[in-house]
Amino acid sequence: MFKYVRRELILNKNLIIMFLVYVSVLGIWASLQKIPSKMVIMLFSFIVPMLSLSLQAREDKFKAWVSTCSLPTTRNTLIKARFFTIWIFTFTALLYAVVVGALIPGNQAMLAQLLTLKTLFLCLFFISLCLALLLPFIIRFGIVGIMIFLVAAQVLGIVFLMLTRLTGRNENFFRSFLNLIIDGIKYLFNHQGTLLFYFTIILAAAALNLFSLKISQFLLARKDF
Amino acid sequence: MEYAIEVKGLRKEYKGFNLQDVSFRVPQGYIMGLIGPNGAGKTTIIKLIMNLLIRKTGEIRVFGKDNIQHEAEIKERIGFVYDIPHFYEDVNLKNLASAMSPFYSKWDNSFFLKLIDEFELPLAKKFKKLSHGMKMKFSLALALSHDADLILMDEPTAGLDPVFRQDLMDRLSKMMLDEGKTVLFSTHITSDLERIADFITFINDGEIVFSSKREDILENWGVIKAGQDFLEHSKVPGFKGFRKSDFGVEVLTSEIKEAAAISSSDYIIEKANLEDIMYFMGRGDQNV
Repeated sequence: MFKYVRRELILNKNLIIMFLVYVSVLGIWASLQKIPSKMVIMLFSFIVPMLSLSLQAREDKFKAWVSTCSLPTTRNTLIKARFFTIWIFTFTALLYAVVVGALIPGNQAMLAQLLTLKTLFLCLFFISLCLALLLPFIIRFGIVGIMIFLVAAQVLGIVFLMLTRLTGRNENFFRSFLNLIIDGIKYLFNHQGTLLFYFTIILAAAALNLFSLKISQFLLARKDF
Repeated sequence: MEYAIEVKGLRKEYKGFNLQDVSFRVPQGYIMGLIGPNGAGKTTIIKLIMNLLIRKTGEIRVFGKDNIQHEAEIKERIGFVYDIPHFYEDVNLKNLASAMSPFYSKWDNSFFLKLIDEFELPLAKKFKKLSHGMKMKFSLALALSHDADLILMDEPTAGLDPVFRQDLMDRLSKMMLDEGKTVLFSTHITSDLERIADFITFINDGEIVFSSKREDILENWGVIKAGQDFLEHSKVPGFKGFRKSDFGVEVLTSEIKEAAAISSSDYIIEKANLEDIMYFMGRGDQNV
């Protein structure tokens, strides 16, 4: 599996350096602005996977899937390797952001507040969610996949909010669904953080990734190059 | 006889193009040329063998093994060159090779560097800075550096200068004779095939027209050149197609000896080359 990671590192060296600079700036900015920890979690949970995914999108940009799929490996293995590589990159980028944050004078107190077991687990969960949703799109449609996902998510969000507003103040399906999401996020952030809570979070993250992996394998197995 | 590639009843459907029941075999240690007009299905066949396209029906066996069930094992033994090489454009050649080489257990880096030197390729240059010919040469260097038993090439000589083309043909011929390698390659440049191919497979409009030994084709196919009304008076054995012009009619036959016995004095008959066959079968006024 590590030969795939090595391959990605070699082929995306310049982009990775740019990422590290970007994550550094983001980490310093977040630290200096004293942004609330919840916001930092959400910000990094979205930015870091997006950066990792754009590494994969380069394959599509250069139409290099043809040479990648000609290597002595199966498509299923390629997808597993992709997931593995993305997670390696994601963890490395997060670790790097933490190290950069720790190096800022006077920032240690904020970092200690941010680096709790709960924030780490929540970050993991949100990153899993983001990757699980985006990866099948990017594997099937490449860079366009990210655009499709973002545009579709925005359109759906707008439509959903409009429907919630139009259907009145009374309890209805749309309002209940919206409240469920809001309450769910509130619950995650306000929970005391028991062992069962962490176990559930890990299980949910693993299940999301496994589901996304299977969908991605299904899609790639049917793709013509 | 053992076969490097066995294709049986292969089908693939696109909008406006169907590959229909394609079957052919490439014996181990031989060179097969795949010829046909643009859009005939040559690239589709090569991509199907590499499992880059998903087949509708049919069977592809490489070294006796199914190309999907034993995909990784088979691809380890294949060196591939596509008509348009697609690699990361902003990466230099040295890094591209470093990224790919660990996937091949038999990668020979010293041989790769020897080829790079012979092909005069700048290792430090980014892929996007290379001309099409240099990109093809790099692709060839990668394909030949892991001791592949089967070399699959789609239009490998397109964009190459005549000197390098001849060098490549000689190299492929030597590989086949000295090392028992098998080569399947598609090309429009039929003169390349006439020099080195052992077998020729002609594909037209998604169907295999013939797949035979090169000697048999060049021995038995001919072109009759005659007056305008020749076809009205004579029945040509092995008739495959014709072309009419102001000067007369040209008829392609696959039975040159029988055709030579036609009782008419107003014609001449010459052996057909692959280009003639491609023209008459693909674009002639009428073909069968």
